[in-house]
Formats: sequence, C-alpha cells, structure tokens
Amino acid sequence: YTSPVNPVIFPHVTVVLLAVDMFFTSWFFVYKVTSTKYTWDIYKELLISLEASLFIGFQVLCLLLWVTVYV
Amino acid sequence: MEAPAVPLLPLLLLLVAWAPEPGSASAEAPPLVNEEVRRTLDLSSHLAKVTAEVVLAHAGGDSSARAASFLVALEPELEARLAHLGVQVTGVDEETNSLDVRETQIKGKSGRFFTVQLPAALDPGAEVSVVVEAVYTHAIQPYPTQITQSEKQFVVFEGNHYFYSPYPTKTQTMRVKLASPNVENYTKLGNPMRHENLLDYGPFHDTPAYSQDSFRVHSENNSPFLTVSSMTRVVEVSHWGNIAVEENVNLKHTGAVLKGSFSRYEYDRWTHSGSSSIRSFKTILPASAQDVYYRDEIGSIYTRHLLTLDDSVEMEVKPRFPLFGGWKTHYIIGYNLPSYEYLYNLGDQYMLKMRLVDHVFDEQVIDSLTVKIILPEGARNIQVDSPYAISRAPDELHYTYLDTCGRPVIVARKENLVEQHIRDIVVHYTFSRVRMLQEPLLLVAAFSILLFTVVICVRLDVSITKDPAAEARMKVACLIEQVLTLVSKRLGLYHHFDKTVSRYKQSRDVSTLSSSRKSLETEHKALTSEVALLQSRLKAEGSNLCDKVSEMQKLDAQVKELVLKSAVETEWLVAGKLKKDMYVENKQLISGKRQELVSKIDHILHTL
Repeated sequence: YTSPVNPVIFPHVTVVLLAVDMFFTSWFFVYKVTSTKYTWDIYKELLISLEASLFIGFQVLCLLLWVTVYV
Repeated sequence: MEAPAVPLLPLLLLLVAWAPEPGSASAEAPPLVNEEVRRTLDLSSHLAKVTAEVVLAHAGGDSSARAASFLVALEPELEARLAHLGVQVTGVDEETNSLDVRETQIKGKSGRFFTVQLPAALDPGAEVSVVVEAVYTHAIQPYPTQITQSEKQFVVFEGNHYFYSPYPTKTQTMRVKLASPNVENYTKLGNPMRHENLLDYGPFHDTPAYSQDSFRVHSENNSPFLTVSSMTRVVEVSHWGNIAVEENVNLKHTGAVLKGSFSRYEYDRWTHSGSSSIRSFKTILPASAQDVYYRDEIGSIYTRHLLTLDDSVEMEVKPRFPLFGGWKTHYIIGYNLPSYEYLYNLGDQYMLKMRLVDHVFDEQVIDSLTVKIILPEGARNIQVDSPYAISRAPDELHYTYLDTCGRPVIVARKENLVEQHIRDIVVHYTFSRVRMLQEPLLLVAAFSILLFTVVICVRLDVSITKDPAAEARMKVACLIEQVLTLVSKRLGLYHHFDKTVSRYKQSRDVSTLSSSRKSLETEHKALTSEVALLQSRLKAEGSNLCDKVSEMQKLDAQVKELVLKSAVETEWLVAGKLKKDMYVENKQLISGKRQELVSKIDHILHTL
C-alpha cells in the first residue's frame, strides 16, 4: 500500500500552496480594509475567504506531513 | 506455534514403560522410544537454552497403531521459567520445519506436557529425528547474590542430568556450554569430561521415562544479564504513508547485585572493574527505519551510534550510566517506517503485518510487554491474528492531531518473551479512502470559520454615535465609485462598437452593423439612465460633485454622437456614397474631436 501522495513532493506542494494561499489571504484582507460600509459585496468576500481557507487548509496539512507529523 | 513455556527436555519417546503409565494422553498411545538423545545446554548467556536432538523410534510391534504425535515434557522445577519451546524436524532436503506444539495435560503427573504433531505418522519400527529447543529465562541465578565492583560474577544453574521425557531413553549424552572456563564446581554424574568451557556428560544408557537427576553447575558468567522488566510498544499507522513505532523500555540488570559503592575512577581506569556491568548494547531496527530518536525523561540521549546496513539498521545504545547488578534505567526509542512495506490493501480492506516485538538486544528477555497498535480514524471490522497466545485488553481510543472521534487502539499483553518471539502480527481492518479527506477538510473548515468571524466582526458597527459628515463622505465615495464603473463600461461599449465597425468595413455585412448599433443604443441608454440616477442621489447628498457628473454626461453624449457619425460615414463609404479621401479626412476630424472629449471626461473623472 502506498500513500496517495508521493512524500517526495511534500515540500514543493507545501511551498506552492503557501504562495497561492498568501495571495488569497492578502487579497481578502486588503478588500476588507479598503471597502466601506456601502461598497462591500458579500459574495465576493465569501468567495475570497473560502478560497483562502481552502488553500491554507491543504497547505497546513502538507506542511504537517512534510515535517513527518503524519496526521 | 511455540508453547510459551516448554521444558527443554521433552522429546517424545515412549517405550514399553509407556503402557503401565497411568493416565496417558491418549488411550491407545503407540509406544515410542528415544533411541538417541544429544542434549546441549547453552549457559553462556543469561538465558538457559536447552537443545535436544532426539531420534524417536516407534518400538511397538507391527500391529500397533502409527504415531501421529508425540509428547514433550517439562520438569516441574523448571517449567515455570519456560519462555519458548520449539520442535523442528529435519526434512529430506535438509530443511527444518517447525512442528505444531500444543499444551496438554497428563493425569497424575505434575509439570507441563506438550503434544507435537509429526509431519508424517510414524510407522512401527520407523525412526524420526527431531530437535527440541527450549529457552528458560531467569533460570541462571547469580551466586553469590551480591558482589563488589571489582569481583567477577558467578552463577548457578540447576537442571537435570537426564532427558525428562514420557518415554524411556536408550542412550543419551549431555553437553554443557558455559560462559567461561572458570568453573567453581559441577555435579559429577557418570564421570563427565571437562574441556575449557565445555562439560560433557554421558553417555547414559537405558534411562526410564520421567527420570530426573539433579544437575548443578557453578561457574563464572560475565555476559550481560540484561532484562527488560517492562516494555510498551506503540505502533501508529497513518494512511499518508508512514508507520511510527515507539518503544518505552524499562531495563534492569538482573545479575549479582552491586555491594558497596560505585567508583567511577576505578571503573574507567581498570578494564576488569565491573566486568559484569553493561556499558552498551546493540539494538537492531528494521531496515527502513528513519528518524530514529533515543531519549528519556530528561531529554535526548546522544551516546548512541546509528549504522545503516543493507538489511537492518543497527543502533549501538549506551545508557547514561553503566548498569550494575540491581540497577535500572528507562528510555524511549522511536522511529518511522514507510507504510508500503508493512501495510497492504485491496480496495477498502487493509492488512497490517508488523512484528509484535522487535529486537531490543541480543539474548533479550522481556518480562512484560504491552503492545498498542493505533489504527487510523474510522477503521472498522478489526481482526487480529497473532502468532502466539496474547491477552488482549479492550480496545481504547487515542486522540491526536486532527481527530474528531478518536483512533481505535488494539492493546495486547504478554509475559516472558525472548528472541524467538519476534514474529509478525497481522491486523485486518476496513477503511474507506474518503475518510482521509476528513483531515484537510477539517483544517479548511477551521480556517474558514476564522475568516468568516473576521468578516462579521469588521462588518459590525459598534460605534457609539454616528458621524454624519463621515457618513456622507462615505456615501458619496460609494456613489462615485459606481459612477466610475458605469462610465468605464460605457467606454468599453464604444471600443466594442469601433471594432464592429472596422470588421464591417472588411465584411460589408450591414445586418451585423445595424444589430450592433442597436445593442449599443440600448446599453448606452441603460447606463446613462443609471448614471443619471446616481447623479440625482449625489444631488440629494448635497455634493458638488454632481455638477461634474452632469458635465461629464453632456460630454459623453457628444462622444456618442461622434461615434455614431463615424459609423454612418463608414456605411456611406461602403455603399460608395462617399469618396475614400473624404472619408479619411472626416474620420480624422471625428477621431480628433473624440480624443479631446474623452480626455476631458478622463480629467473630470480624475477629479471626482
């Protein structure tokens, strides 16, 4: 039985996911800071936050597996 | 299967004396005889290993039944110490097959008995040679029980001169292998021969069944008397490709207790000081072990050396202090193994095949072992096949990273293990692959909850008073932003229309041109009306920007006119109503005006 994900790629996947997720998270926070009470769009906010949390979730899992925590 | 405690001596051989024996195992047991027995007592380590090579013969007449099995007996004195019993028969091709051994009871006789199944039933008059191996723990006792640091360790072993068996023996010899040539005394039955560290007894002829004669040898033995008093082995299986093994070991030196004080100077200076103490030992780990750590309560212990070989990983472990008699220490060793070597699966069915107990050191004795196998969350239908009898405690639940309902733990216990107990245990369970997604999804859910909380918190208005000026400013800014988006959309429309016009120039398709013009008109109307709406709202807010917006609207109307005009001109050109150079001139004029207007609009937009 082998793992579904090859352990060799853990470091690369972690870093890539981290980059993507940093982009989404920063976009989310910039949006929150620049929008006023009347210019905000809930769907856009929810979409960005969902994508950010998705990428960061997988990235943290990959990070844990990379450091041999093996959840 | 080996019986956990089998006396060394049993070998089957039942002879004429079998018949009058009361309470035999089987009513019609065929008479067997030990033709020739060669016993070897290996006392060179702290384990007493007795190996007996027996030639078993069926002594009955032609009419008696064939012998399908034979009995192995253990002396009552030693049987409590038995750790392992194994019987092997050498096949025709020189291969050794382990025979099935089961414990039985014999009425009227004390001690333990084991029935061994022969591979082929023994015909009357035939012979078979088997090898019976038994290992006893804690049978070699230190004597004197207390020594000082500079003394040597002497030990005593008490056993049997004869081969203890339910069958009579025709001839037997015994050879004792000691740890050193230094022998204090030994029992002299039948004029034994002594050569260095070997004692040869026998041959003894025609000994009856169940014969016992006390045998005692007192000699020097400085081999490490290391015992694992208790050990907990935790195997954690992860479906992401890793099995983590951790062994929590309590070691004790079970040789002669140290009397007096321990002098470090003497110990380091003289090599003969503390000759029976244990400085280090070697642990052999599985070949693919990685990330090996060796630590105790204080922290990581660095007096260790790891050597990676082809088929194993050897770690030379040196405890923090040398172990003298009666001294104890405790440590934890752990390592990671790749799962593809030990975990097998077919669809949803998984099978884990791992060693129940692994090599801790050579000639190991484990007094009490607890094995915990932690399976991934959601593993069901757990079945355990163990190579020998173990006692299972009820399954527990273990909570660790990213767990929602706990991981099932299989707990097994066993006492008195030796090296021969290093065997595989097989665990079957079912696990659906989808459950592996639960871990990343849990993380995603956690982070999304965090971000939603941020969204909600920032949106909540917790100011005590409303600041009207700031509010108005914010509203105006919002409206302006909307205006900007609409205007940019409008400009986009113009560009789109331009493109269609140029395409029309090439394709001369009037219908597309008219349809695109119509769409331009409708959209422009919609956008303009929206801008007008916003403009009115701006006015309601009392902002002076609404004037600028109205100015921009006017300019925009002019731009639209120009755009339409250019479209008309192009149409004329295509229809041939207009000459080309005139068209070009007009076009330039129009585009110049348009640029001007557009730049003016931009300027206004910037100031908004």
